[in-house]
Amino acid sequence: MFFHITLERNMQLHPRHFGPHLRDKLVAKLMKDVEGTCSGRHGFVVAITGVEDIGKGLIREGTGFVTFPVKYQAVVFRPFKGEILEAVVTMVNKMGFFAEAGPVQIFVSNHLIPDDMEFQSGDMPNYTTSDGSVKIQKDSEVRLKIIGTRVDATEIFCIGTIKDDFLGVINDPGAAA
Amino acid sequence: MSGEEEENAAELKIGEGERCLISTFSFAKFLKAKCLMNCEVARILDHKYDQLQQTSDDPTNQISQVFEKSMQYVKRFSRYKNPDAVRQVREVLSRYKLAEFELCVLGNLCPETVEEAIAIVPSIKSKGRMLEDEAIEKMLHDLSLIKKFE
Amino acid sequence: MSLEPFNRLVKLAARAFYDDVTIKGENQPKTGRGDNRGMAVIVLDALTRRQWVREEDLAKALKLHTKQLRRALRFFEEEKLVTREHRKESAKGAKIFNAAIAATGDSQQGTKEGDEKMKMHMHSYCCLDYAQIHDVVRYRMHRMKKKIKDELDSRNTIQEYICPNCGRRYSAFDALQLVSMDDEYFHCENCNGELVAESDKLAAEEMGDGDDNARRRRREKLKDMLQKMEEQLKPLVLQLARVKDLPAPEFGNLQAWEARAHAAAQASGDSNAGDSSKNPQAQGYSGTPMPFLGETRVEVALSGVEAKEEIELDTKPTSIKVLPPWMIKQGMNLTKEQRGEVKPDVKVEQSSFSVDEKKSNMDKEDEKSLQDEYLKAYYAALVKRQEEQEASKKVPQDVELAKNVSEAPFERHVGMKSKREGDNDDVEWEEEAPSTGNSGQSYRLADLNVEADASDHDDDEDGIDWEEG
Repeated sequence: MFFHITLERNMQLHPRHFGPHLRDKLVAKLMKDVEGTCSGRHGFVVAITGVEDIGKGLIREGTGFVTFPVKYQAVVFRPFKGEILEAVVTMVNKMGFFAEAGPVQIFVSNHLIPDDMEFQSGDMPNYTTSDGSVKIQKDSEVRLKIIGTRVDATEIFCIGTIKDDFLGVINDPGAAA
Repeated sequence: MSGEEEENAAELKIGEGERCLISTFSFAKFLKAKCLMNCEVARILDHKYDQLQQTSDDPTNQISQVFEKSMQYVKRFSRYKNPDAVRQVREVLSRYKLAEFELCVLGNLCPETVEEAIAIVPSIKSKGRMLEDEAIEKMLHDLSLIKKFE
Repeated sequence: MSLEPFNRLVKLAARAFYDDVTIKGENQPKTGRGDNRGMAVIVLDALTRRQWVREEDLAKALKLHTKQLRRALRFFEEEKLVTREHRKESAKGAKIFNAAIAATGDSQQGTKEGDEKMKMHMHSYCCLDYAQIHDVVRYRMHRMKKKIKDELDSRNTIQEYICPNCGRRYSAFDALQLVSMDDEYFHCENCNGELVAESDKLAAEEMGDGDDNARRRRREKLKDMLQKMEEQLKPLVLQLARVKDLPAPEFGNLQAWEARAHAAAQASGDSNAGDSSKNPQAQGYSGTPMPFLGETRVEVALSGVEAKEEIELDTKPTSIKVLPPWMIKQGMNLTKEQRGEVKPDVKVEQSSFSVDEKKSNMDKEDEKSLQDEYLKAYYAALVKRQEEQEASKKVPQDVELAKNVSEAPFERHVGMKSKREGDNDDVEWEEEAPSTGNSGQSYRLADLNVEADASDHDDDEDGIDWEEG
């Protein structure tokens, strides 16, 4: 799920940036530093949408660097256990399949794929029902439920299942772009 | 007790699924956080992308992989493209006393039946919510209307 | 409204979940001396017969070392079965508690004087938290069932993988690192071996079969486990149902409880106090607390046979025992019968006597067959348990699961369990009248007191300063 949250960060700025464009410099540095990172606490920082407040700078003794407390708003992506979301299949193998939902990777092991779907190897490995009506292969869109998240300081990885009601390949053709 | 356990404990107390997520939020700053539907994120990221293009000669240079993947994802999985429709979805769903998270899951997945809605957001049927099947039915109907007139 | 259903719940839960728990300090080696399994049950049982109790007193009553008991209580505190309170007490404070005890007619006066001499001392008290126990037991059962059911449904289980070559284990969370571009399997980071999903491997090992049916077999095993669990925990489930709508006994915190006890004592007068203790059940719960329901007597009936023996002896108290020759010493004032010299003298009664003898022989035979039967049952259970343990060793993935389940029901075979319950009613819970063995008891208490005091100084495992003011 995407969230819009307010975050804080202490930014250190070199004195050479001081001047009329100090604020722009700070914001540019903030985006460069923060966007695209992942923290276990807040998830993936997708985009900074605004800077709420820049506090008074504090000169660091001995260096001349100044620390500014910056309050900003950002769009973050953070998956949660129990969450149901849609994802794109990126790889299929005998052990299960990998899927991607935005920045996060999700693995669905074969025991969390319905029993009536069997693995077919070949150029385009896939899981297919015996009647061939449902097929999961690379680029398929699936709806899955996250049953576990591994949250490291800099990475989030999920385990998902499609073995439940209303999960699996998305049939509705209008759903995708 | 590990964090994992706490999530489970919350889940057990209040029922399956998403309710436990809400309780997990409170640990982080997610308590005050606003959830966003994919279609809303698409609009925000679009806007941001346009801005970048104006200010920078080479916007791709500034774009993180996370940004790019998110953008691709929300574009692929947005049910509503029209900005008015996006606004209406939130408006309509807000009438049903849903938690932010519930609202966004429903808006993202657009369930077609009451049964499906309850399966993907079990908490809407949990005790004390007073959300009857008819109300859910009406909500889904409203959603489908927005889609139809988009 | 009574304690009884809740006490029964505690006792059942103790036997189901804490029978096999060894209570040991962290610094003690796991294989250290003394297997104190079963102690947990005894402590819990003792607590069902009390309300708030000073832990030293409980230790004395159970003849446990205070340290040992504290460790057990700390464990139960963590398990959310017991509430504890610690406070620094002057002699006056101790008096209040003793007065509360005395008010409900207990004979613990012996310790009172000793307490008065101590000035400020940290004392710990403990009490069962019935409401919480109810929740905890329900939660535990729910988790046990959920765990098995989840795996049965293959829902919400994170798959684990093992390398058959080097035994290294991975979880599905490592999937990204394990994928190989060359084939469709996961490969060991260590030796590049092809990983096997653990549930499949387990199932295959258990049944000695290929992985085709592996998953199905595993399911069957789980189903079996679930069924067994339901069967074996049935008494507990029934008791939970019985207790469900009853208000849980609530003693309040230590101070409130003491105040109530004090008030009750003043209301009823001191002379009454003694009487009330004789009938603690009648006094029950309706406002008047009774900290001690009689003397602590934990009779562990290890076998039904022993109990039977006692009863048999009781039923023929008139017959004089013939002492074995090695017990007879000079200067003993014995009758001829006791010396076993009766036969030559009383020839006329020979026949009737032999009948008696036969009878007693028969009794002995009965006893013997009973004993044999018990032994048989015991060994059968032992063998079964060993088998089960071995089986559970093969299921390392499920250590926790197996622990959950096997701790209680696996070693409890239905037959044995019902037997034990029968015993409970007859023997184990028999409450002694408070008056028995009073003098002997207090002597012993005084004796132990010294030891307990000494041990207090170095016992800082509680994280509390046991300093004296």
